[in-house]
Amino acid sequence: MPLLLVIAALLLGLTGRAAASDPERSVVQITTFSQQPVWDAPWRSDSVRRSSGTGFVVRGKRIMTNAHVVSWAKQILVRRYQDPRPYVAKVKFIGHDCDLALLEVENEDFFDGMQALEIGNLPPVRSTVATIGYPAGGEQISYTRGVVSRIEVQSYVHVGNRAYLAAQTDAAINPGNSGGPVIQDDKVVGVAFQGLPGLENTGFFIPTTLVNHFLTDVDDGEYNGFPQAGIRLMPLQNPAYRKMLKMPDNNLGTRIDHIFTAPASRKLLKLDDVLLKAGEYDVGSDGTILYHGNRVSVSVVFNEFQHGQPIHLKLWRDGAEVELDLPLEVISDDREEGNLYDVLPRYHVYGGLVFMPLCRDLMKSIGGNWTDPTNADLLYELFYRKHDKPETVRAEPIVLTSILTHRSNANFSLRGRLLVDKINGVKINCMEDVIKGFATENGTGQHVLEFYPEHGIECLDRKASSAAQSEILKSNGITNDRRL
Amino acid sequence: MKLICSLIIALGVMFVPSPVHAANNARVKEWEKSIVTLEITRKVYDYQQPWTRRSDQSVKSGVVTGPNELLTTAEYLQDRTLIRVQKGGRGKWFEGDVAWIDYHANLAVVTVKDPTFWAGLKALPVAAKVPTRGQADLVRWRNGALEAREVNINRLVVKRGKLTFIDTLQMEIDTEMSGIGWSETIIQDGKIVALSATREERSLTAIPSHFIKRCLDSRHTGPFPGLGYFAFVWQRGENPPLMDYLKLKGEPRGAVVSEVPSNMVPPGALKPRDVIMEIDGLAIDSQGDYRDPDYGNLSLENLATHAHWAGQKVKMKVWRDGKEVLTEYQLPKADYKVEVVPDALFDAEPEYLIMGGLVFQPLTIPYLQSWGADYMRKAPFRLSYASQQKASASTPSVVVLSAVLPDTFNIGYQEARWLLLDQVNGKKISNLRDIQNALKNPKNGFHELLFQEGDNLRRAVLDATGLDQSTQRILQRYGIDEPVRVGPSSK
Repeated sequence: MPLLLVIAALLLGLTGRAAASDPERSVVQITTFSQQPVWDAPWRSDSVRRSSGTGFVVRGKRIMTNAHVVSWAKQILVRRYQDPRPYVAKVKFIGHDCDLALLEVENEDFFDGMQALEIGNLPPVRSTVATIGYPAGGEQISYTRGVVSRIEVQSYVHVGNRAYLAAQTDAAINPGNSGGPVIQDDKVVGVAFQGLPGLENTGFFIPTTLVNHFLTDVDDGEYNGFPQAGIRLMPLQNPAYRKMLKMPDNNLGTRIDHIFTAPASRKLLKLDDVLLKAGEYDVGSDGTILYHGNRVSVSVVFNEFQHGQPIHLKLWRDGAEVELDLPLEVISDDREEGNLYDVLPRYHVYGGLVFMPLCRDLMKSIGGNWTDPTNADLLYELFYRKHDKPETVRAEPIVLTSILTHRSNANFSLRGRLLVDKINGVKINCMEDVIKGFATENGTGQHVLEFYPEHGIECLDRKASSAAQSEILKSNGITNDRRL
Repeated sequence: MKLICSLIIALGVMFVPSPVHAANNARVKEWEKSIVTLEITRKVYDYQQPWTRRSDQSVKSGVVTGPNELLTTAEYLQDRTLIRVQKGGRGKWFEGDVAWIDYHANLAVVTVKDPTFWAGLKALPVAAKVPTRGQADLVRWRNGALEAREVNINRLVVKRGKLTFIDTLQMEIDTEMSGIGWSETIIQDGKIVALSATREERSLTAIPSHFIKRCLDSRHTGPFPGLGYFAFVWQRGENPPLMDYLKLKGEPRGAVVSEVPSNMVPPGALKPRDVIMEIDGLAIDSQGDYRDPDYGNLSLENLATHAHWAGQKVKMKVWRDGKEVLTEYQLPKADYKVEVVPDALFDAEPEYLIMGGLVFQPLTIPYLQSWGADYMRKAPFRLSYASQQKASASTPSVVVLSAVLPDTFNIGYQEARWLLLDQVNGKKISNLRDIQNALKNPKNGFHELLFQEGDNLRRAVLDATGLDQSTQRILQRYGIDEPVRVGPSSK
C-alpha cells in the first residue's frame, strides 16, 4: 500500500508539472493499419496489421512521429488528448534513415486548440526528462520520468544500416511510446524511438539536432536525408603512423582509411589525409569531437549539414595543413543493405521463375538466421563485393528467388536462391535486363540461364514456358507478371 | 510354495544356455583375440594462442588385420606423442607406432614392436565386398569385457569423409548405442565390414571394408599413392530443355560440368558444359549417379576412389558441342594444401608470426574451429567466407591478423583483429614467409601493412627500427618463447 502511494504521488507530481503547460494536449495517439509485402511472394501482401504509437504537434499543423510507426500504412488514425474521435491522417514526409515522419490530418479542425510544441536543444547528460505517450498496457496517456544517461552515436534499427546521434534515458520507453515527445522545460528535446532488447531501463530518443535537420530538410517540399562524407575514418594514435605522416605528437587528427563511392570525397580527399577539424570542431585522434559536452563521433558534424551543402574541413596532407570545402551528399547506393519501406518490391515472373533484386528484406525472408553461411554468396554480394571488387559490382544484383513448379520447369536441378549472371547471353545488371534477356533470341529453342559464382546453367523450353506463362500466373494468383 | 517352484523353473529355463547363445559366445571369444584398445596421447594446440599447447588423451579401438598390423581410424593419431595398445581388455599396455596413416582415408595401421604382444592375437579378415543392408555386430572392449552389439546396416552412401574435403564411400548404420564412433569394428560373417568413424544422433557412419581393403592392399604393394578426387564442379543433367540446349537427344542423362579448375591435368580434359556420359565405362544417369554392380546407385564422385588412386587417369565419355568425345581426366591428389583455407593441419605445429605484438597466422579451418563446433556461423563472416573460396595462382592461401598483444608499440591497433593481410611494404602476402621477406625492405624506416578491403582497418604502419626490440619486450611480457614459427609446409 505505501508503495502504491509513492507511485501515485510521482505520477500526480509529474502530471501536475506537465499540466502547467499542458504539453499532453499536443500529444496524439496514432493507430496505424499497415500491410507489408510478402518478400518471397512479392505479388502478395501480408494480412493487415494494427499497431499504435504516439505523435506530437509541430509547427505548420503537422504531427511528428517515428517513421516506423507509420511505415507501410494503409490507414492512419490520430486521436487528440481525451477525445475519442479518430481523424484520418496521411504521411507528408518520411525519413526512414532517421526514423522520423511528419503527418498531415485531412480535417484541419483536428488542430483546433492545439499548440505546436516548441523544439528545444540537446539536453545535458544527467538532466531530467519526461516522456509522454500511449505505450502498451492501457489506453490513456502515460508519463514517465528519467535522466539522460548518455549521448552518443547509435545504430538506428528501423533502417538497419545507419548510425546517428541518440540519447539514452532510463525513462521507460515501451512499444506505443514510439514517436512521442521527450520533454524538458516544456520543450521537446527528443523523440522516443527504440529500446535495447535484454536491457532494462534503457530507452533511446532522437535528439533535436536530428529533428531540426529533418524539419529543415523538408522545408523545400522534399526529403533528402542525412548526408555523409563517404569515408571511413580510423583512429590515428599509433606513434609510428603519426611519425610517418609527419604529424605532431598530440591528441588531434583522425586518418582517412577508405573513401567510398561519394564523388566529391573521391575527388577532393585522399587516403591518409588526416582530418583535423570538421566545421568548427577539432577532431580527436580517436575520431571524436567534443559536442555540447559529449565526446561523440565526428560523423555527427557531417549529419548536421543538408544534402549538397559544403562542410569546411582542415586536413593534414603531405606534412602540411590543407583547408577545403567538401560538398556533402546523401548516399543512397547502399539502400538495399538496409530495411526497405513503403515501396513494393520489384519482381518478374517468367515460366514460373521468380526474379527479384537482392536486398536485405529478401535475405530476411529466408527466415531463421539469414546470415547463415549457407547464404554466403548472397551476403557477400549484398554487403562486401563493393568493398573487395568494386569493378565487378552490378547495379542491382538479381536473384532467382523461387520456382513456381509447373511441368515446364519441374526438372530444374539447381535450387535455392541463385544469383543470375546471364539470360540468353544478356548480362543481368538490373531487373530490366531480365525482361530484355528473355526477349533476346539466341538461336535455340531454349532460354538459357547462367548463374554465379558457381557457373551453374539451366534452361527453359521457349515454347513451353511461353505457353505456360498465363497458367502459372493464374494458378498462383498472380495478376501481374512484373513490378518494375 | 507353488509360486516358488514356478519361479525356480522359470529361472532355470532362463539360465540354460541355448545353442544360439553358445554360438554367440564362441564368436565373441574369437573376437577377443582380434580387438584391441589404443590409448593415444597427443599435442593439442590453442589456435587463439598458437604458441601454446597441451596434452590430450584419447582411447579408441583397433583390430588385428595381419601380422604386426593393427587397423584403426586415423583420427586422433595426429600430433601423437605416445601410443599404447592393450589386448584382452585389461592388463599390460604395449607401446605402439604408426606404420602407415592416411588422413584423407581416415585409416591407419599401428604396429607393436614387442613380440609378446602378438601372442594369442589373431587377424580378422577384411571383407572384399560390403553388405548394403542387414545386421552386423559392433565390437569393442568396454570395462574389461568385449561388448558385441547388433547394429543395422542402413545403406552405402558417397559423402564427405570425416577428415577430408573429398567424397568417399561410407556406410550408414542405425543404432541406439552411445559413446561409439571411436573406430569400433563392425563384423559380419566373421569378417570386418567397416570401421566406425562418426556418430550423429542414431546414425553411425563407418568406413566400409571395400575401401579399407583397397587402401591396405595398396600399402602392401608399394608407396601409398593417396586418394584422388574430381576437382571439377558438376550439376545434375535432369532438365530436358538443358539437355536439348546441349544437343543431347533422348532421355536426360549425364552430369553437366559447370566449372573446371584452372590447373586441371591435362588442360581441357573437361570443359564447362560438357556432359559426362560415362566414367570407366559406367553410364552416368541424370542425377550424377552410376549403377555400381555390387552396391547399386552411387554418386559419380565414388569413381575417383573406387578403383583409382591419385595421379591415375580416369577414362570418360563426354558429350561436347553435340558429339561424343573420349577424354582422360587425371585425378589430383587430395591434399589439404590445395585449399585456400586448409581443412586440417596434421602433425605440424600451428604457424604464427608476432611482429610488434601483431599476431599473424595462416587462415585455417583449425583456427576457425576455435570459435567452436558452429564456427561457420560464429566466426567473422569475412573469414568463414574466405574458407569457401577456391585457391588461385594469385591467392593460394591467406594470412589473418588474429590478435594484437597490447603494448605501447602497437597503441592504436589494439582493437584490430580478424583482418586478412593483403600486402606488407608493397609485397603481396600469401603466407608467413612472404611477411618475413617483405619485412626485409621497410619503406623510409616504416613497415606498411595493407589489409584486404573490408569494413574495418585497411592500413597500419609500424616503426621498422623499433620493431625487433618491441617484439622481444612483448614476447617476454606475454611469456612467449619464439616470435615466429614457420614450418617447412608453409605454402
